[in-house]
Amino acid sequence: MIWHPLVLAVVGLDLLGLLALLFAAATALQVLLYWAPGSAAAAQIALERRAETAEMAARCGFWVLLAASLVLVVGITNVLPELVPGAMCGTGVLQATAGSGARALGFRFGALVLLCGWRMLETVNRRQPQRTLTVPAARLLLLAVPVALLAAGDTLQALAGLDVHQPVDCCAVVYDQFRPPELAGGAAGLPDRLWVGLFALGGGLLIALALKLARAPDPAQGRWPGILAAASLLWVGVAAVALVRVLAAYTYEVLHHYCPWCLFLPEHRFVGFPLFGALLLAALEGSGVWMLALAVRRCGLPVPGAASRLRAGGRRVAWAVAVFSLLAVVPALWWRWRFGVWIGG
Amino acid sequence: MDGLVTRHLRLVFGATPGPARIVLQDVSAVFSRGALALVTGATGAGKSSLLHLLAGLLRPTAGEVLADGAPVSRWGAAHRDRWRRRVGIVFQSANLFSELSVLENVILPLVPRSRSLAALRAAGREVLAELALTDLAGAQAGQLSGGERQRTALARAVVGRPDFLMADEPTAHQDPANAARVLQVLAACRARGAVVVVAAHDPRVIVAGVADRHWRLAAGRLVAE
Repeated sequence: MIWHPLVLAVVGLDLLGLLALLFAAATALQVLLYWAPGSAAAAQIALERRAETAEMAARCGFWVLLAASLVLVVGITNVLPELVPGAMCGTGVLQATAGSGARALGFRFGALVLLCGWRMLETVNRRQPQRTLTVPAARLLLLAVPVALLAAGDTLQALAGLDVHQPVDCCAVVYDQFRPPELAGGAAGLPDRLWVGLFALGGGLLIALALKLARAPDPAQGRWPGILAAASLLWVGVAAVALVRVLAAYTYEVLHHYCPWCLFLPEHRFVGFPLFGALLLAALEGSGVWMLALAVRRCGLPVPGAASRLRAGGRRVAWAVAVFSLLAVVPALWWRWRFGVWIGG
Repeated sequence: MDGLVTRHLRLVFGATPGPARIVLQDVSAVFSRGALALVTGATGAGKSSLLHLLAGLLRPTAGEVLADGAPVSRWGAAHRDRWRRRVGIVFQSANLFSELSVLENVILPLVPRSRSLAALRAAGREVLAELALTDLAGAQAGQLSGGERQRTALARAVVGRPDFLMADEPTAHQDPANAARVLQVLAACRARGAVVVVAAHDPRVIVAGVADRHWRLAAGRLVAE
């Protein structure tokens, strides 16, 4: 394991976040087993106090995990490539982690989705004195903590196993200049034009859907929150493919460079951070809206504040889609205006 | 139900280290609006602790406090803090800020209510006049006598026209004239519909006959007199 300050920062933050989350999870388990809001017995009063403390700990754990993820991405994209021979961006670094790096990022995404849903529930729960969403929030937290543990474990494994002696063939993975162009024509067997079309059409529909939810009189009811969650997660995948396969070319100003990680480099003005940040926001808010709506519907009691949070979630999804689309599409339009043609004809 | 209601309140202090001390047990009582309740009892009987529970400063070990039907003692910290804006409390030891002037101490509870400083000062002076403290408005709280401190604390507690007023030994260290002023202010709060709970040793409070209900705390239990 290399003792780089960034590696220590990620491991330290992960450890801190996990401690906070595990502390909160212990109380969440007790909440699931013993929560009795109708009782004023000593055990219930003590549990209410612990639940309040645990909520603060879990909130802290969420932010620390988010910070660790940001530091990790900064490291993968801008710090660790200098240490791994042959690595020019995050692709080479992930190659040097022998698969656990990509898995760690996947688990991190999963943990953040679940924790963001928990945070949304808890924010609404905290606004009402009776805390009617305590049990579903505890359930969600217990679901998120194992995923966060897997994320931290894989991150540690990836950083500990980072091979800084063996050269990697970074660009061979994504920018194979010797590959015949006809083989580089699409992702998942679909042509690039279709991905761009799906991205544009899906983005428009998602904005319309998010704004519909943002204006709904009772956004927790009906199928719209579920549809929004599914649509945002689906669109995030489509948008990422469209970006890497087609739109990134206008930032790189070169063809067939299907790399998401180079967008995070300073020569491309770190545009990957806002681009993938917007995608992350759309996924987190979209899925969080569904989790909150489901909890509200199942609890069967009026939950003041839930409607406004759901509407805010809808607005944030719309904003995230708009910001991503703007950042991704403007370089293409600028290219077309300057040169009169699209890259690749 | 309007007013303050306690249901099977139990308060236990200090479980570690050493034995736990049961301060209150099974305290169930109703403190109605527009009524002044007097709580008496020996030193250490738990009068101050009961007032702190009623004011939301302490959380019970078991049982609950309901304010106008809402279980405020079980609310989270942020909600209890907001509710406490409706509560005025006179502590046994006054708890004034000794570096601030008497007037500044008195207007402190009004600061979060977004009124102009002139309006705050006017409200503070009005209450100070009722308690014969006008001349001391500019004096530092640290220089006051015990009786003056206690009257300043009462002025601070009532300046926001609270719905619930808890007063711990409000007539302590007062001469008869000032004790009468204090009781008059408490009676005025009761007259405008507040729940007033007074914990006192002072026989003048009992003799004055201002109390609508008299409770006695003994061995951690509240008994109607």
